Amino acid sequence: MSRNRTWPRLDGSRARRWLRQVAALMVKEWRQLLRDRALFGFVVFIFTVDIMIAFGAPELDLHRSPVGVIDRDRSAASRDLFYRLRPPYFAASVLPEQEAQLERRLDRGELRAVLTIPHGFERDLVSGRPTDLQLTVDASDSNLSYLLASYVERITAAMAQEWHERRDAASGRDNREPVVLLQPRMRFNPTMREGWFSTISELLGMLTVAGILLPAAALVREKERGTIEQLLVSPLTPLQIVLGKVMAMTAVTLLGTLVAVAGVMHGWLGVPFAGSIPLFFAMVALFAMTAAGLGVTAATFARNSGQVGLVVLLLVMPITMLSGTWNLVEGMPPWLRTAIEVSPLRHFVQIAYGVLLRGADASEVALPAAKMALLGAVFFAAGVSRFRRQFR
Amino acid sequence: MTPKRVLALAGKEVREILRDRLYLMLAFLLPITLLVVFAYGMTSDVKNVGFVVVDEDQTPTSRDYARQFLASRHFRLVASGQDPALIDEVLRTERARVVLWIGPDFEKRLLARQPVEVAAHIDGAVTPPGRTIRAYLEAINAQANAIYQTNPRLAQADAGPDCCRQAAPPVRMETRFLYNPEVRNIVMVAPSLLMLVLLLVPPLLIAVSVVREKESGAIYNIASSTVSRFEFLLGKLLPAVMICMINAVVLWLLVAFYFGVAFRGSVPQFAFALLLYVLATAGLGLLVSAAVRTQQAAIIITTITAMIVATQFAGFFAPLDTAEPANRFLARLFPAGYFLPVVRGMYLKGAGMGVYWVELAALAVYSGVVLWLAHAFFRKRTKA
Repeated sequence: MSRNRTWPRLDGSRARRWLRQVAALMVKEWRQLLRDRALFGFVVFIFTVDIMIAFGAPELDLHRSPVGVIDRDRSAASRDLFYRLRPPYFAASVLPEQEAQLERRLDRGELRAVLTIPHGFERDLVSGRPTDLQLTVDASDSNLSYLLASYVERITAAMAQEWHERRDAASGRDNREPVVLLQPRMRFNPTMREGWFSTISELLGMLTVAGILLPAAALVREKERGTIEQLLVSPLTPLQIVLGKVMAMTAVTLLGTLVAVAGVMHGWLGVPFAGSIPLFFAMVALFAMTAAGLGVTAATFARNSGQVGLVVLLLVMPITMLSGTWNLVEGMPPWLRTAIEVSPLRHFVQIAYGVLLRGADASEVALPAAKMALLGAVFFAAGVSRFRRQFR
Repeated sequence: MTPKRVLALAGKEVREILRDRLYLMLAFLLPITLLVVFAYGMTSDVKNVGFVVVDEDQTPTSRDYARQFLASRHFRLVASGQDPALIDEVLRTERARVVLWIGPDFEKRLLARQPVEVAAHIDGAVTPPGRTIRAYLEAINAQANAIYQTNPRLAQADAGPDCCRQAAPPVRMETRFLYNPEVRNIVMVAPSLLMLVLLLVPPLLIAVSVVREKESGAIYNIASSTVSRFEFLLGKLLPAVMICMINAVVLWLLVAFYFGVAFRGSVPQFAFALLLYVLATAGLGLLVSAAVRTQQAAIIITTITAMIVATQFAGFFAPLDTAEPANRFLARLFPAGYFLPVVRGMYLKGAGMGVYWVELAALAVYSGVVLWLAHAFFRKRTKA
C-alpha cells in the first residue's frame, strides 16, 4: 500500500470521491450489523426493553414501612400518633411493653423502626412541657432510615402543632409562633417521578455502552477475521476506514436514541421533553462520536472480540458509574472529581438532563459541550494514530 | 463420574487461566475495580452540593437563617443575590442544585411573631438525591425554628403576657440509628456491593472460559473424549468458584478495612453464605454458556443481566416492597434478592444463620437447580 495522503486535497472531485468511499463503507457496516444477530438484538434491547425496565425501578420512598409502637401512655394523644403512622408510608403495629423478640425482629428486617411513647405523653403535650419520644431505626439501609426518621419527625411536629392550636383555641389565647415554613419546590420534576430520572440515567448508560462497544466491535471483527487486510489493499486510507465505522455506528446510536426518547420515553412512558429537539440530537451525535473515539482506541488494544468485550467492560463501568448518572459528582472525593473530568459522559450528563428536563438552551450547555468535543478530538487522534501504526 | 477426571479437567483449567494473562488479570482486577468504582459511584451522600441564596430581605435575621444551611457539610455556597431570575439559570446549568429564596419581609414577620414562608427550589431532575436534599433542608429548617422559638430577641419583640412561656411544640425526638449510628451511606452500599460484584464476576469468568472453547473449537476435544458433560461442567466450575472465593475474601477485607465498615457477624458463617452465593451465581454462568456461542455475547449477557438485576431487582437502593408485582416476581428468579438481606443482616447486624436460614436454604436449592438446568441444556457438540 502506498503511503498516500490521509487528507484529500481540497478540490471538488477528489473530496467527493473520498466521501463516497466513506459512504460505501458505512453501508457495509450497517449490513454487517444487521446480520450479526446477537449484536443487533442487543442494540434493539438497550434502546427499548431496557429503558422500560428502568422505568419500573422501585422508588426510594417509604411504602408501608413496618414500624413497631411501644405505647406506655395509652392515651388519646398516643393513639392519635399511632393513627398518623399509617399507609402509604407506614404500617404501624402495637408492640407489647416487654418485647423480647424486638432485637430479632429488627435483625430480620420485619420491623424497620420502633417508636416508644413515654408515660405522660398526653399530659406533657397539653401542658406544653417538653416530652421525649424515642425512635430506634434500622440504619443498615441508610437512605431509607434517614427518610423514615425525618417523616416520623414531621408527623409528630404536625401533630404537636395541631394539639397546641386546639388547646389555644379552647382557652381563647392567641399564640402565634415565629416560624419559618420552608416550601420545597422540586423543579423540573414537581411530583418526583422516579421514572423520569431512571429512564434518562439508563439511556445515558446505554448510550455509553453502545457508543464505545459498537465501533470497537466493528473494528476488531475485521482484525479477528483478517478482513482488515482486504480493506488495507483497497484504495482506502486508515482514516476513511475508521471514519466509515464511526459514522455508521453514530448513525445507529442516533436512530436508537430517537426510538428510545421519542418512542419509548416521551411517547409511551410520558417523560417530558423540555428543550430543543435538534439541540439534543446534535449533542447525542457529538457524544456518540466522542465515545467512538474511545472505542477505536480500545479496539487497538485487543486482538479478538472476546478481549475487546472485556476491555470495553473495564472502560464502561467507571464511566457510567462515576459520571453523575446515579450519583452526585460534587459529593465524590476531590481526586475522583478531577479524574472524572476525562469521562465524556460526565459532561454529557449535564447536557442531557439540561436539555431533556430542565429546558436548557444552547448557550447554557455550551461549556460542557466544548469540553466534550475537546475530549472527543483527543480520543480520536489517539485511536486513529494507533490504528495507523498497527496497519501500514 | 470419577473425581480423578474432574480433577484433571480442573487442573487443565487452572493452567490455562494462569497462561492467559489478560484473563488472569481480569479475574482478580475486575472485582476490585468494580467494588471501588461502585462504592464511590453509588454512595449518594449529599455533600458539597451547590447552594444559592436569593435574599430579598437582606437583614441580619435572614442572613443568619441562610447561614444555618451552609454551616453543614451538605451545602456549599456558589452564589448569592437579590434577583429571583438567578434561580432558573443556576439550576439549569447545574451550577447549583438548591436555591433558597427568602422574601422581602422575612425579619419583619418573624419579629411580629408571624409565620413566614421561604421557598427552596431544588433540582428535581436528579430525583433520588433531590429527595435527600429536601429531607436535609427540612431538618435544618426545623433546627432553625427551634432556635427562633426560644430566641430572646424574637421573643422579647412581643412583650405580651405570654412572652416567656415556652410555646414551641415541645415534642423532642430522640432518634437512635441501629447498626449504622452515623447513618453513613457507605455502610449500606459497601457490603451490598459484595452482592453486586459477585453476581457479575463469577458468571462472566465462567461463561467466557466455556464459550472460548466453543469459539476456538477446543471443545471438540471434549466431544470426542470419554469425559461426560457433568464432569466437564464441574471441571469448569471448581476453578472458577475457587478464584471467586479468593475474590470474595479480598472484597470482604476491602469493605472492612479500606471502606471501614465494621464486620459484626460470625466469620465462618458469613464465609459459608458467600460460598453458597458464589455457587449459585457461577451456576448462572454455566447456564449462560450453554446458551451462547460467542464470547462477546457471553460478556454482554452476563454483564447487562447482573447490572440490571443487582441495581433494580434485588432491593439495593430501594426495598423490594415498593416494586411492582411483576418486578418482585422477577427478583425471585435471581440469587441476588435472596443474598442481599443475608449480607446486610450478617455483616451489619451480626445476625446468625438461625435468622437467615430460609434465604440460605433458598440459595442452596437455587444453585442445585441452576447446575441441573445447565447440565440439561449443555451440549458438548454445538449444532452447526
